[in-house]
Amino acid sequence: MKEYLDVHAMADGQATAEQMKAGEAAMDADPKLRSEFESVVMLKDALKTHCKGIHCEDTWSACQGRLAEIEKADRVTGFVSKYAWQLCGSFVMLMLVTGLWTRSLNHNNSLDPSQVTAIAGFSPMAAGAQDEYGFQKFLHSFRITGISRSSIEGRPVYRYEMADGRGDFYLYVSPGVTRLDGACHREVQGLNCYSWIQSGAQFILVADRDHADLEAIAQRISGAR
Amino acid sequence: MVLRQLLMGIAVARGILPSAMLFRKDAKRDRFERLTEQVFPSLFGTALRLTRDREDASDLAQEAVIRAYEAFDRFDDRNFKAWMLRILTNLYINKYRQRKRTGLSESLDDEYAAEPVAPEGTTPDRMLFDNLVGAEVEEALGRVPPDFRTAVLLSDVEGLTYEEIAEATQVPIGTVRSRLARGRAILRRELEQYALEQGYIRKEQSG
Repeated sequence: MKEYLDVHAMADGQATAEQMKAGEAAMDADPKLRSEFESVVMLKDALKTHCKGIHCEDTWSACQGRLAEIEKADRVTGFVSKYAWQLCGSFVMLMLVTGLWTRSLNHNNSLDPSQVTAIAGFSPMAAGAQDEYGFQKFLHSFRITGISRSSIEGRPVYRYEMADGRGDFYLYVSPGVTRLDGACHREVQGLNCYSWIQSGAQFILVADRDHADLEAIAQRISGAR
Repeated sequence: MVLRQLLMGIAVARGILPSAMLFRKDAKRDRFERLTEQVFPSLFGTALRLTRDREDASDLAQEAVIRAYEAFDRFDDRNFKAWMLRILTNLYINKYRQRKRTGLSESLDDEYAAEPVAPEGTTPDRMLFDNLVGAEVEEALGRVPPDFRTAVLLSDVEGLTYEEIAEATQVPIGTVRSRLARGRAILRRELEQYALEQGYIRKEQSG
């Protein structure tokens, strides 16, 4: 039976020169081997002729799509792994810069109520005088008993001594504040205070009253035009 | 370099550059696609003849292409078609064949189990083969058990060497030789049966 396999190898072009020579001799001696050889050659021909490659556009397009996806993923992965340190460094820098910027923004803007109430050197303004910013137009429904002026970190702070039917209270106004961080209700030096932003300035009410009272006064001021 | 990449990214995001410029095909993919496109009909044809199901063939061919792309750096630049067919056949044997394994062929792999392709007193080959059409050959090939069909396909349709078939099917060369001889004998019998049914040959001619 081994001769048959050698005949197949000859038909397949896989036999060595030596095997070819031996095979030829064997086929000359045995017509069945010759017949086997011819049969294999014809079968191979038939397969080669009738079984062609099959083109399938859909599958090829799907392959191309998947290759493109893999390539994109490889590029992104490659970029991230190649520049991981630079990317991390950039993020850290960004966080630092943002932190510093936010910090400096807060520093320039809102005041803590304890800062304004602690200022000792307020200079009284002449009776009937107006502040430069025209904040008094918001206060016409209250009785103003005195206005004084001072500054904190180079910015002006006005103090209005005011009164209504329930007694006295103070209003501090600091222009140039656009954002207020933290709670509006606070307690400073044993007095309640309420802080808010209005017309580009920070308003701080300080009085020996409860917070609801202060909030009501604040609403009257912020509602006044 | 980082700056260049970032600027490219910004340019693409703002529509200054088309994204195709940043995500253009790289040299590896371009070369791989060109080579694969040339052999794809063979690849798909083999997948279809192995699985005998168009959907399975499509999945098998796609998976083989993806595996080959991932391993393309290891391709030795010799015979691309043989390399692709080896990946496809490996995948078929390890994945698809396991699902449908019948256990039919293993006991027939013995080198000495081969039978003659041209049995005594049968139809003259010329008369048998001259009348065949493609669909009949495909049909007969489909009836050959998978392991023998794989060997016959890789050798006679795709022209792979015994060594390449042995690598693709993960068996010794001796087994490839016996599978080929056995597969061809089965195929010839199937073709003869078909020719008898169709009346291309008569009963007494087939012995």
